[in-house]
Amino acid sequence: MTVRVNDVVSGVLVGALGIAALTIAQSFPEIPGEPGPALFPRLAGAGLLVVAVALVLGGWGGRNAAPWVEWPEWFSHPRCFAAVVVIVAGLAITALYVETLGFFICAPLLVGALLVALSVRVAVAIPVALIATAVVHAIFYSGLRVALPWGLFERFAW
Amino acid sequence: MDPVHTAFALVFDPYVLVVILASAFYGLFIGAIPGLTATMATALLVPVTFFMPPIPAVAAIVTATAMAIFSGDIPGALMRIPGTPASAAYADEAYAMTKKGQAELVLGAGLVFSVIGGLIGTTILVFAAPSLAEVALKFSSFEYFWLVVLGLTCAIFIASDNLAKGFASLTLGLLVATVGMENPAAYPRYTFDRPELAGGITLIPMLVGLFAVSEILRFAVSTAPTLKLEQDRFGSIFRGQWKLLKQYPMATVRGSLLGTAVGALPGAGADIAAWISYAVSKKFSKTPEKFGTGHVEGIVESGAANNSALSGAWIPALVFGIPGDSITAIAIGVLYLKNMNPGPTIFMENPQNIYAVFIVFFIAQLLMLPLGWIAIKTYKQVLKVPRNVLMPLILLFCTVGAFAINNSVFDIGVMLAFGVLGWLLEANRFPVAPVILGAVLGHMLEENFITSMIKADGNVWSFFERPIAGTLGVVTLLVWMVPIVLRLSRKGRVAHG
Repeated sequence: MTVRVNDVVSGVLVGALGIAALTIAQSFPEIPGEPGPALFPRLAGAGLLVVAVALVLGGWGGRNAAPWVEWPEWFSHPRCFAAVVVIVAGLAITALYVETLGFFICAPLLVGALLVALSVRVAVAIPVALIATAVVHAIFYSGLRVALPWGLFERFAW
Repeated sequence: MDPVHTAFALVFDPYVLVVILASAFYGLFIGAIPGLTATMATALLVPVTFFMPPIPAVAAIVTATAMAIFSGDIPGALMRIPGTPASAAYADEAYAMTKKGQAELVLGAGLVFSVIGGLIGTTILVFAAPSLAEVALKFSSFEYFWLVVLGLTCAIFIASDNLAKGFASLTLGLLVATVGMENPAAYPRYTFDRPELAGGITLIPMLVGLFAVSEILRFAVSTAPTLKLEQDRFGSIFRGQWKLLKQYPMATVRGSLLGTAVGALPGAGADIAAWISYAVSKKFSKTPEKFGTGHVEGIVESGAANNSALSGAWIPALVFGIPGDSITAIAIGVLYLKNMNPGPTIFMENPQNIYAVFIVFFIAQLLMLPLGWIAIKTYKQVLKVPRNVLMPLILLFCTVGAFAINNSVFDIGVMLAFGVLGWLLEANRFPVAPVILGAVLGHMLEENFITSMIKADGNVWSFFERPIAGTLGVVTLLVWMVPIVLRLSRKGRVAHG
């Protein structure tokens, strides 16, 4: 389970997205005589606003039945919390730094950290992370010719 | 050589056969592990199929999904935990049968009627798709516009219990589709000056995020108890199946037909087919009071329905490029990557490819009998694979897969963003399937609308002037009226009563 919000809150979020979409779409050019590139983004933005109103109105009636924001149980559960942080931060770090650090640093860190966060013993996690990295690299880099970045290991590249 | 012979030659190639066999085991494994779904199996396959010729690529998806939908029944029957959402409708019933000592019967029924449902669904696909394609050849942008609108409408009306949330998901998907320069005016929209966004948000990383990363997040925070089997040794699972078939011929056929039809409707896939079929089975049963106590009838019918739905979903996907479920939404992405663009012309220009896909469908169903038997017999071993080791490996695979499509780290970010989004949407009961349909069909909707408007010189009535377009348009508008009418009649009833 993850963060659960009252429909009023999700309605406000959907509405905010709609307003953002509409605001940006204001700058899209018009083409005289035919529907231009602004039409569909505006329709989508307007659609989000309509749904937002429906969600807020629907949620308002039951606002006492459900709390505004329901923090899940795992929030106070260090193991689960750590696992979520590892997944989100691990992927973000990989996306940002894999080109500089290289696949051989990012991949074992991502896998190893998540294994440990999911209560796998460190003695098991380290070899699993290393073997997984080697196998995936062999399949995708050597087998399928995906240009996985070498980063710091550039001079060892094959 | 005529196309049918060419198709057989394409499929009965050692490379293709090995791909089919490997994806069969892969699909059985993914489906049998709770928390890993058939859609996730497909999303994870894409990066690998990316590097294959078209026929083995499609064969891998078709085989893996058919197997996964069946093997999802196994944990349902043995642990009361459905392996994939498509088995959720009857997991309680199946578990009750195991409790009564009928594990062999229920597992065998899951297998045999999955195969029968799959075969019937595939037969309908083989006959319906080419004849629909002939009709579709005459379609212009007006007909396509309405078809897409009708498809998107179905996605909201069938796939979600809350119309507002279904509509929100769909609109979100349509907004995603507007990103980039791929619009009739080639104007960069919502690109924020990032070159990576000029081509739009890449579909595959988005799907891997929505269907795989979100599942990993869900697993990470689950405090579910360890998996324990109710029974781990089985006698003959095929004993008594012939008797079941003779006892419930109507249920088998009804489930398969209904499943194919539900599968063909955009937005509704195997899971919804199973729920509807189970309810229908109970309604028409001579012994509805037995449902819920460990009665096999509903499992026969809905087990056939969820496998036939898989084939049904390919009908609109191949003929119109409109996916019938989330799996075919991904498959359509693969078809485009392979220059096997779906649409009626593929039936005329490359019939051998279409026939090859049909042959693969039949092989996958028949292969399910022996391999499914092995999956049941070895299930105890399958469960020994620790999920907390498996999930990090899947995450690594997702990451490399997302990167591989464009060799772009930006796509890892896209995958992460949609993974978190999918996780939040699901927890807050927003359906995910309409997001995908909106994102896949957004371009088609816009392109056909703009083309039609230019052709019609801005006259909206031309959308209703051609007979098929007019009919589709009126049907769509009528479907939109349904909730309003229902609401008014409910209010009227309250006012009078």
